[in-house]
Amino acid sequence: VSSARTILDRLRPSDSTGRAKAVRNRSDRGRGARGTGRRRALPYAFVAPYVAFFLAVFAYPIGYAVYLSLHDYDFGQIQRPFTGLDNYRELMGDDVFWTALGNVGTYLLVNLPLTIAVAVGLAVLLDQAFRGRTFFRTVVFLPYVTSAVVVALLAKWIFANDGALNGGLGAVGAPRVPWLTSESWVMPTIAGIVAWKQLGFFVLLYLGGLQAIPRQLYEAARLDGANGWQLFRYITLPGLRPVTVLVTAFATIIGFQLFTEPYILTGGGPLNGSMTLVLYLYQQGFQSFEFGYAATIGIAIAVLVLVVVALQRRAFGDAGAAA
Amino acid sequence: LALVIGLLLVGCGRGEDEEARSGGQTRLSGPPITVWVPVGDEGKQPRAAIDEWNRTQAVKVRAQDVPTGTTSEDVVLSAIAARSTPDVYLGAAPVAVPQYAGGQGLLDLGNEFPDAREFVSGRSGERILEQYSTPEGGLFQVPWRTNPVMVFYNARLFRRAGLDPDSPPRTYSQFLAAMEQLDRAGVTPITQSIDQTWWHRFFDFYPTYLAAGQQTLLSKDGRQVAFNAQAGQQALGFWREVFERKFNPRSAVTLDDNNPFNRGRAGMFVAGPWNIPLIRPGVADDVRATTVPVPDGADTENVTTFGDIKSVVIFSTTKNKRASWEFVKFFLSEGNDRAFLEQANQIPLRSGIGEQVSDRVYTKTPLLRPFAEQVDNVLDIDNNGAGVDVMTQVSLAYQSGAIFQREPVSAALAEAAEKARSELE
Repeated sequence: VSSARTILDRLRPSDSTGRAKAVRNRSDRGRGARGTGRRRALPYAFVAPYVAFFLAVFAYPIGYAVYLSLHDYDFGQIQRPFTGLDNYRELMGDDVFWTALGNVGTYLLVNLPLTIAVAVGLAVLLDQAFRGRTFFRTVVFLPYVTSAVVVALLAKWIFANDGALNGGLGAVGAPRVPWLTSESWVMPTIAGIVAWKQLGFFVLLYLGGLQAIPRQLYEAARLDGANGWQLFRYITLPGLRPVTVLVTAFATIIGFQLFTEPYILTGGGPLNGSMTLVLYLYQQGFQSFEFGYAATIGIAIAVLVLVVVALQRRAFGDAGAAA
Repeated sequence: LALVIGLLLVGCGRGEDEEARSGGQTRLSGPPITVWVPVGDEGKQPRAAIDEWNRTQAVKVRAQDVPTGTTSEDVVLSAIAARSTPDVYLGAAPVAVPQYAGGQGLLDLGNEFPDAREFVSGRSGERILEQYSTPEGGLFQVPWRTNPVMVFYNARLFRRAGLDPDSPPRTYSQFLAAMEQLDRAGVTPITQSIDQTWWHRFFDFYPTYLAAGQQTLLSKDGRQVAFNAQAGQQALGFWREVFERKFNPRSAVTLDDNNPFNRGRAGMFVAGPWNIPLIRPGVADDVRATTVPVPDGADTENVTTFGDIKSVVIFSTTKNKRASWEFVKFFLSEGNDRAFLEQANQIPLRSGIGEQVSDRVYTKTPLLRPFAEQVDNVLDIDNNGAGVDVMTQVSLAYQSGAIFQREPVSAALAEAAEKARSELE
């Protein structure tokens, strides 16, 4: 185990990043001294298409969303006055927004550990050599490539009060569970459905992460007398840390963008128990036509995602920075 | 140059102004018009009507399916924003029309065409004209068809529970007694969805609210909340008892052929005539319809219900206003209304349509008759831009006051009324 740690320390990404910076600095100095005006312009020409794309597809919509959020922009009104931060003040006092944020929090509390635990477990299993491995890898990946609407409709059938799951529970004498019709059950249920749907993608990421762990680490640890659990605990898990950071960030973003499942399964109910931030945004924008307020919710979601992911990166330390 | 300009001016003006009647038929000119037509079976009769129009009129009409989107409201909204709307749209949701009009997307028919008000009141009655006029006196839509919401019931299951299907329940206490008997007989009494989305209330609380008070959720001027009163409390109280006594499972059932009622597994189901073709073949022969529940002691002969109306609108982008309006009048003529009912099994919003249809329609689809007879007693959602917001608050009150009984009916309604007021401000 100690040999493995030494090798892992040597493989730390900060070293390679530092070397790359040094090489880049030397190279920049050389080019700067010899460069002509035309040569200087060339890189800008290369990045120009991307800059144009970025301006059209990202910067303009974001700028316009900020503009909308500062106006009372109701589609049905001719006057759309500038209202400064009024929409943001209203958002801070909006019960439904806070309920939706709390629901997303509940979702993440269930979904993140579930996703990481099951995805790591499946990835480790599917990384072993056994007959039919490709078949099982495909099976795990199938829900990910299935339409979210189809998955939600299927889940509606399974988790209905008189659905397949409660039917199975009834057959073994267990009480029925109000999966989608109780405020306390609905978000954990949705978190489980989404975890299942996204699992294939995360298993794939972890499988990639497992391939990147040098095999000699395991050999060295075995020579030191490590058992199976110790190999997993001290080599596999630390080796997968950068992937876990990535998975956490992706799963968090998916959580903040949660829409299809609550929209189809519950409409945000019962009693706003499955209202999510994006579903609320949709209702404000496309049912109430309050585009100004909807844009404010959108900006709030973007800020929240940035803050949460930044906190996660900080919590994961170096591995977070590498991811 | 003067000649060219003169010709251009004459050419531009023709579509708008030149109109001559010859032998009782309007002769129109100007560019062709495009009409958005509903997709599926619902669009067959409108397309046939367009073909008939094109055989006799110089201004041709092009039929286009309504583009697909999450909802038709989203599609129209996007088209208005992009100024890519056609001339006429058959099937606009009244709840969204104030928004379309506010977005400068629609023609004010009352202002543009002197005969518009008379046409609407002559076809559908003064009550409908009044409901679809804006508080400022505008008229942006012609109500086209209605899907009156009524209570389907299964006569076979009624008989099994010892109920007389020829004398269906009408009042709250009669409905509750019938549900109790169905429950005792092991039949799920009623299966309405508990989904929170606002429009689900069109099939439970809202029709019973309209039946109790003949009043939409807001005052006539659209500025005051009206539902936090006796009718609201009666209707919500009725549904609370339905859920308290577990007559309606707390389940988000679908509005399609998978609904337990349509599979013959529940006694009652509140829906519009669009549900008729969704009832499974082995069940359909047993199904009948009655009016929505009214408070005890109320008139059970003329019960008002939710009309689930769809309208015809003319977009402000039209290049041929006159031809568009003449087409709308042609499309909503008596003959076309009758044909629409006979071919699409949907009810045009024409007074007395129930008696104007040939008996063979009712022989083929007997369940259609009670819906057609209901057409003179329908109301829709408020003609106000805040209609969806108000309905959303009502839906939350329904969940908290009736389905989950988290608070008394009066408190749930008072809370919803307060939030609805802030939406109206």
